[in-house]
Amino acid sequence: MKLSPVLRMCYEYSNFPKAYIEKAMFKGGKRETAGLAGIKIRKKKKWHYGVSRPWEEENQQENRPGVHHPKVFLEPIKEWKVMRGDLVEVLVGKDKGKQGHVNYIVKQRNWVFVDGLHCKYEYITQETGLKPTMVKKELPLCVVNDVALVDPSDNKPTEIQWRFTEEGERVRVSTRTGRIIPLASMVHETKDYKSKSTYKEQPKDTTAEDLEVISYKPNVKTFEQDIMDSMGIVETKKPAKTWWY
Amino acid sequence: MDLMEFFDVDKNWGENEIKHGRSWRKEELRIKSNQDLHKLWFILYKEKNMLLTMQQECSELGELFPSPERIEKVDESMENLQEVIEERDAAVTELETGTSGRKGDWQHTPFGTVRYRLFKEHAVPPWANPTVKAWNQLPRAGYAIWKFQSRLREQRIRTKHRERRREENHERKLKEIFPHSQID
Repeated sequence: MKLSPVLRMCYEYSNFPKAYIEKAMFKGGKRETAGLAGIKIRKKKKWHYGVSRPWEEENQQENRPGVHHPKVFLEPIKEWKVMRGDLVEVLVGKDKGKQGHVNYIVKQRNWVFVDGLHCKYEYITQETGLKPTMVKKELPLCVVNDVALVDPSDNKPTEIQWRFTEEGERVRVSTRTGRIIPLASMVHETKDYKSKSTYKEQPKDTTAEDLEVISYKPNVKTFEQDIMDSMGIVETKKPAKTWWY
Repeated sequence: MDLMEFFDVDKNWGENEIKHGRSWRKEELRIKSNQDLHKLWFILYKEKNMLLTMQQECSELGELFPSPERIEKVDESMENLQEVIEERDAAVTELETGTSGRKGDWQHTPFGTVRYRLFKEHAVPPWANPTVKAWNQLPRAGYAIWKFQSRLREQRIRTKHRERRREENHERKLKEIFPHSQID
């Protein structure tokens, strides 16, 4: 089951299967009808991606039936160079020239959110509280123009290329100095674990040792015949004649 | 034989999130014996039943069903298991008979075309089956078929042309908005 590159890279953190994400999107069709009889919900052809993920409430509300959004023109990018956890410099806005780490990426809009920079302040009223509290929210930055990766040797923004080392490893190299920019450890983090080695086994999981056990011995028996032989089932009845056409 | 196996472990009731692993991959299933796969199938089947009952119960009581992606992961494992077993059976039939897979043949459709149809198992021979006779007596040509096919061809040309136009316009607009992009 191969995931398309865009879907895989966007949702690596969530570790959700593709079928689950697709079920959350593109609702509507012949069988989906609204509460009142006679109103048909048309099948959604284009999903509008936003700050939150498609399976979350906010994005589902943006894509409710009857709501239309203006068309989003995305600049096509061949290879994504900015990954989660990278040190990046902001080139526009109030925080121009400041450096921060990337904590959220939305590939479907070419958006990157930097921790603490390029923010807006807004008042949010809690339902239980009385006074509205001020909250700092990061605004999206365009990957192509608004943001640049920082070269660790001189702490200045650079252009990046993906190249191969002598060993055959694919790495990011800055075009100005030639220094390799390593991936942050946050890249391999998912909702289930911080890194593969620190994953805690759950009671219903199969352990890595059990996965490596080879118990298959090739033989010229069908699956049914093999199971019958191992269980000692002997079939003496003749099956009824059937025709295949 | 406990009916409470249809429900989850007690401490998982009322949780917001339940941690769990990933689905079985085909490479991991191919190295297991037929008996192991037989047992695994029923484990996955019972797990799926338990998840579906929990989902129904939570929706009835108006509570949150934690980690609903577990159902899709179990589905994935079961599909992979099915495909691995089909691979093994196809290999055995190919060794024994020389052909593998389900048999089929070309059949005339009421629209004047021919399609490849896979065979189904019937209890009645084809010369005694009235639907087979009806399918064989369909007209292969005629005024209705000609009119239908010409209109279908027009429709296909129209949709293909519109798709191509839509893509070309989109590319032109992209070049207008992003003149410095390095692709296309």
